[in-house]
Amino acid sequence: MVNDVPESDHFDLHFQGRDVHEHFQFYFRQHWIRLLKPFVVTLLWSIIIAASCAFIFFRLGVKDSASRHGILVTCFAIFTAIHLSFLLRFYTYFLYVIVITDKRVHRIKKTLFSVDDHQTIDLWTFQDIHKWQHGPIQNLLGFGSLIMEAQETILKVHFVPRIGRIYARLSHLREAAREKMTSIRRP
Amino acid sequence: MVSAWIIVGVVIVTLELILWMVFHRKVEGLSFPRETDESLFRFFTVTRLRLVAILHTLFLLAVFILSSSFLW
Repeated sequence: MVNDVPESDHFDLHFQGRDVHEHFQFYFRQHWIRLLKPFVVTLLWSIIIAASCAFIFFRLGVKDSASRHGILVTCFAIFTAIHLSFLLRFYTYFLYVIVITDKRVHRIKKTLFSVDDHQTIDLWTFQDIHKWQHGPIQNLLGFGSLIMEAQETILKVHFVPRIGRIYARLSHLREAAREKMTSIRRP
Repeated sequence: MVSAWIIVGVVIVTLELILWMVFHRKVEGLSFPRETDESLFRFFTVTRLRLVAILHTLFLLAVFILSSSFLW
């Protein structure tokens, strides 16, 4: 999610779970392909409802006005429910954010009504960062999964956009965090 | 027919408003500078999403008003 005001100098941002000593680096949401399936499903259902209405009203013909009103309101209620559920899915897409600071990776996952998760993992504890890009679609569109392994925790992030670039930035930040940690520990 | 338009209109606007208010409350803590966004889809800001919500409401209202004008 992006604010509307230009914020070039706002790199010390406050977000849920942020430590005062960590500095914000970048963030990302999942690839837009995540919204493709709900969009196609909504489109298909809309076409089915419109075609059903056209068939009932123009082919079969409904003479009784009460029945006509009832059918129309029912069809519209289903149409509205489908569109609102897509809107819900659309909003939820913007509530799943991965935030990277100079010290940690934050996975913030919320839904409108039920989920409010926040998983945090220290960058210097990463033993491995795996990049997964399988299949022609993932390679063509440049997305995939990142699996970050720490000592006792694994953080999996799927549908990562610009995965090559994000992987490189994460690896660089991990090295910087390790160097920083080593210099602190050195007497 | 006008009373049906009013009832349906109030229901749709209320539902859209509830969804937007809940979304806005939740997204408040997730606003970051545009230049730090590594996502592919950078078009949507809070203002643009509000516009999407308004357009979506108008779309649903227009669909009901047009279809009921022909078929009521």
